[in-house]
Amino acid sequence: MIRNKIDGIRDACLKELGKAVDLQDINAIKIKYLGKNGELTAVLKSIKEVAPSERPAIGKCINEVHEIVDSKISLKESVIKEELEKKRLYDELLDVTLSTQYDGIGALNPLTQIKKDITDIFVHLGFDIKDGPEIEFEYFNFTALNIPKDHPSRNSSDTFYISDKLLLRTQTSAVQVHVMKTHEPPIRIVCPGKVYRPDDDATHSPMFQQIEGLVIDRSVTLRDLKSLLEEFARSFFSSTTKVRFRPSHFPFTEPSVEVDLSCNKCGGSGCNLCKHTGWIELLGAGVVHPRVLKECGLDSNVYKGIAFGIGVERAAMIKYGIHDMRLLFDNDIRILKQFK
Amino acid sequence: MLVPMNWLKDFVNITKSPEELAEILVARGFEIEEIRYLNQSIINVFTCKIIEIKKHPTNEKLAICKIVLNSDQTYQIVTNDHTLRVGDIVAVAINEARLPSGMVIKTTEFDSVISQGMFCSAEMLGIKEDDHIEASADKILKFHDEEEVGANINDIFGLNDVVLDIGITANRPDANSIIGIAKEIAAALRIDMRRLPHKYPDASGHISNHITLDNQAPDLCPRYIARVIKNVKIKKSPKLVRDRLRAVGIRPINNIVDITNYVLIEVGQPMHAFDLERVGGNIVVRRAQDGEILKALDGRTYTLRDNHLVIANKSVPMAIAGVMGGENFSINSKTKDIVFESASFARDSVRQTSKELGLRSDSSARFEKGIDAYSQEVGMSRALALICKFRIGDIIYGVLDTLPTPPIQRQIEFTLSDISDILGIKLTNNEVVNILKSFDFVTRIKKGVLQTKVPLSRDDVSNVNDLAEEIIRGYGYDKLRPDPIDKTNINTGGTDPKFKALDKIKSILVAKGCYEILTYSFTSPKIFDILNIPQKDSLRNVIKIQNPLGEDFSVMRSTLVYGMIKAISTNFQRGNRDLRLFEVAKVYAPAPTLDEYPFETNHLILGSTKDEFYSFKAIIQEVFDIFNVPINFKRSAIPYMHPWRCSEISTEDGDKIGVFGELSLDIANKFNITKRLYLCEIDPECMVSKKNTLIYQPISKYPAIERDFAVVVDKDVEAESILKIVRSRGGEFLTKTYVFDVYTGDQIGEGKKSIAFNMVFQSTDRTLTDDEISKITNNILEGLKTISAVLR
Repeated sequence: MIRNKIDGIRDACLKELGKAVDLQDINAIKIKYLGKNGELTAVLKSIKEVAPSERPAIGKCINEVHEIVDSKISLKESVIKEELEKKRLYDELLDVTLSTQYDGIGALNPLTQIKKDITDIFVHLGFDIKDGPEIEFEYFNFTALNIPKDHPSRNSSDTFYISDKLLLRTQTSAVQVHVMKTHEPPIRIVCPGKVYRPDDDATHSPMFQQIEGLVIDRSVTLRDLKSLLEEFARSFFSSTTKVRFRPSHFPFTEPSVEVDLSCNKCGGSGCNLCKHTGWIELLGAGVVHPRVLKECGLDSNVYKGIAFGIGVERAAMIKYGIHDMRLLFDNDIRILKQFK
Repeated sequence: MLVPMNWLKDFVNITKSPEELAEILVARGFEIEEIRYLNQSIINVFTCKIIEIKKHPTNEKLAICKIVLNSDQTYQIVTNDHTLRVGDIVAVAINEARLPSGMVIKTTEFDSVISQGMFCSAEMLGIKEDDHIEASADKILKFHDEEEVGANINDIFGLNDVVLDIGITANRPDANSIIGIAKEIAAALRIDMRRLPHKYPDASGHISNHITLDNQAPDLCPRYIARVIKNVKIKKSPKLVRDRLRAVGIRPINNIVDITNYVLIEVGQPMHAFDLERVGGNIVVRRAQDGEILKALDGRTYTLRDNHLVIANKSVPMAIAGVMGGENFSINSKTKDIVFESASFARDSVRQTSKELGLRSDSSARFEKGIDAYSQEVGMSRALALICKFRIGDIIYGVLDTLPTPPIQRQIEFTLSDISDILGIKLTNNEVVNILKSFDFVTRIKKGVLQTKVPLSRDDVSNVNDLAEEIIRGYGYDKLRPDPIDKTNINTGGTDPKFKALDKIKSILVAKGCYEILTYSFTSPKIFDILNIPQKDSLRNVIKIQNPLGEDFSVMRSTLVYGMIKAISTNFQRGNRDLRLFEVAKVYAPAPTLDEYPFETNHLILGSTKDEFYSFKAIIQEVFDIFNVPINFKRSAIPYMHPWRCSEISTEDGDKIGVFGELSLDIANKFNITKRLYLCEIDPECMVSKKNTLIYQPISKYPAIERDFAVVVDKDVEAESILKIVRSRGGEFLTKTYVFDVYTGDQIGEGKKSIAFNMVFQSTDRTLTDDEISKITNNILEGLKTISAVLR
């Protein structure tokens, strides 16, 4: 009798459980069957009405049913919970293709970046960074660098003058002189900075930047200069970049060379960038003129020097394929944003 | 310098193409600006003979000509020129001919009659009257020589040549001539150079019977050579001379003037010719008298000063030495006898004269570059050889020369190790001697010491380094093999902390979304009026440039603010309105005297149209915080800013280091900046010079306790005055305080505002009790009463 009742409760409970769809249903079932006044609890309470001899068996039966029902409820509950969690997560679905506007980082000026790229290479090669005044005495800018009094570069068409003696430096080479006069060799320096010349067109700006390099030591040669600049060229452009020296003339170096790098766009086979020559002129260099060493208080029988000067704008134009230098001084945010 | 290949071939046998030659010259230090094929602008234009002329069947304005070239083949040309006659020899463009204008002539029909080409006028071919007598601009170009029928126009006008445009560096004035370049080519190709005969027979008479020479300024005229030629016949130069002069851009004038120009180009020695009759009997080289005048060949009259050198006769200047001759003394069609001048004038004197008079010429350009002591004689003898060759006149015996004995050749002594110390390569005695020989340097070896004699034309070679350059030029720069750099022998570089600090400031700003701009260091003096800067303000004390590119670039800037405003304005004009820009650059101020270096100070400028006042201020505040430099903001009038939204920035010591605020609306409007622009200009020195004293602080294990208070104060009380009291009374446990809300409104009352601030208290060795904190906060509130702040 009682067994039938127990089975009936079990079947009813499992049937209801089958229909349960949410946690509320589960709760209701728990209360209805397993709660304090639940049906199965009631049966358990009514066990005293059963003959004592049958009590253990009936008790066992009730416990088994209780266990089954309880585990089925738990199972169903966890299934429902899992589904609910799935649904909750789905409700949080986001369209990953959507974005908001970000207000990100800014950028250094492309010329600052190039300048830093170049000086970094030389710093790694043991060069110190030095700077000097932009408003310079003609002695440091010209005379000490063996530029004669009647040299055309001293003309007012080539140099901005403040007074007879003061001018806007036309080259960072002026810093060399200061350093040689105040430092004992060995000297290894690079001097980045602004220089000024009265030109203004697509390839000239009245203000531009140079990086001067100087090595003074007991034994340093034109060949060392080539080694150094080849090392630089490989770091700045690519590991396959080659260096070519062409004879040239600067009053403060002798021998003087123009330094060409193999074109980084076509690799030397010829393209628009290198005007189909395979080479790009990047800098001037040479062995420091003995008269310059002497003027700076160094004995040219003991010390030798090599020097080079790199145009930052030119390097930037080559590296980024810019054709008009004025673009670099335009400060248009649409250009600046390209150099993050 | 323009160098025609055909002219070079007078001196060296060249079998190389112009491109190959260019490469050789580049490797020797001569840049090639351009290789100009003269025959590329006119293609397929020939001389032809008209053998028949018919009327056009329907159009009476046109005629139909039958022509022949040098074969039997005939062509039919339709023309509108009715002056043409059978038998005329004219220029015709046929077979898809190309004219200098780029025009291509194709077979076309004129009212149903086929024309296989077009007759050409001088103008169409770019030929001037000087080049050809019949060349009056718009008429069909006619010829008279039967033998020329069928000739290519390029041959007739000497256009079958290739001209190299060669850049000559300042140290090589000796190479500034056809002979100079030919020498380099001969050395490079290791071939001999052909020397042109400089011989000529002297006629009877003696120069001293005609003129005397008096050099009163040997300092400005180291050498002056004069020769006299009598019975000259002034006429057009031979075709070869005219063709070559045209090829180098010089207009042929007459046979005498053309010879002076020919020698200038070929030898590099400027020459001048005077009409002997006008000279009278005397040539005087002297300084001009102040105010003396001379009408030059350009037709203009020049007033001379006593630093200008002139070539005078007994009474008046006849030429501005080395610059230009006088009109009244020059060669004209009636000239009978001439004086040739071949002289050397001091380069700075010529430059100064040329500059002061605003007068330049091919001659002055050469003298400015420098003429060596050797070429006066060479130039003169070459000129006389040409006079003789073209049978122009009788060369009178005798020469007037102010420096008849040539200067002594310079000798340089050196050793092989001197050369390897400079170049880094080891050469043998033989190699060195041979290379130098190819440049005309004669070398002897004595006990391991090399002694080399420098040619007189090579004024630029004076020491071992100069010789090393010649040697490596001859040896080949391409053979200079780099050594791998020994990196174990290298120190670390980049030791100046100043650059690091400035880089760090820039990186912080970039991280904050700022873009770096770059503006010119020079500016206009007008900016101070635009920025309302008071007359006596030190910003107006600027360094002026004597020779600026214009007023807008005439003073060195004393502030970066204008450059920033301009950059923002430029961007606004282009529709870029969201900007956060910065620049680090120098500002300049004059020193007390011109014998000292002026002051150059790095400044930082920031400009933003993307922020509001406080978010912009937070960027600046953070930069200083990172460098651990405390700063104060204090409201202060800045002439170009919003009167109630600007501040002075100062350090703890009270040093004023910058300004900050919103650009005044008036100025913003002038620059079409339609958003609020916040600006900050500072001197970053206090950050740059700050020693890095960062020391790790342990984190307290005990809880931090926060308190928020709101106080009501008068509206003009600044937040900082409250925080100052909080900080001073907060004691050792107050670790942080800041304002998080400011409120005005009805609940507070007219003229009042509520300021809410947060305080954080913490101890490193224990948990603070409520009592302790209340004691402190009561003390703070007590203090706030001094500024009438009432707890809300």
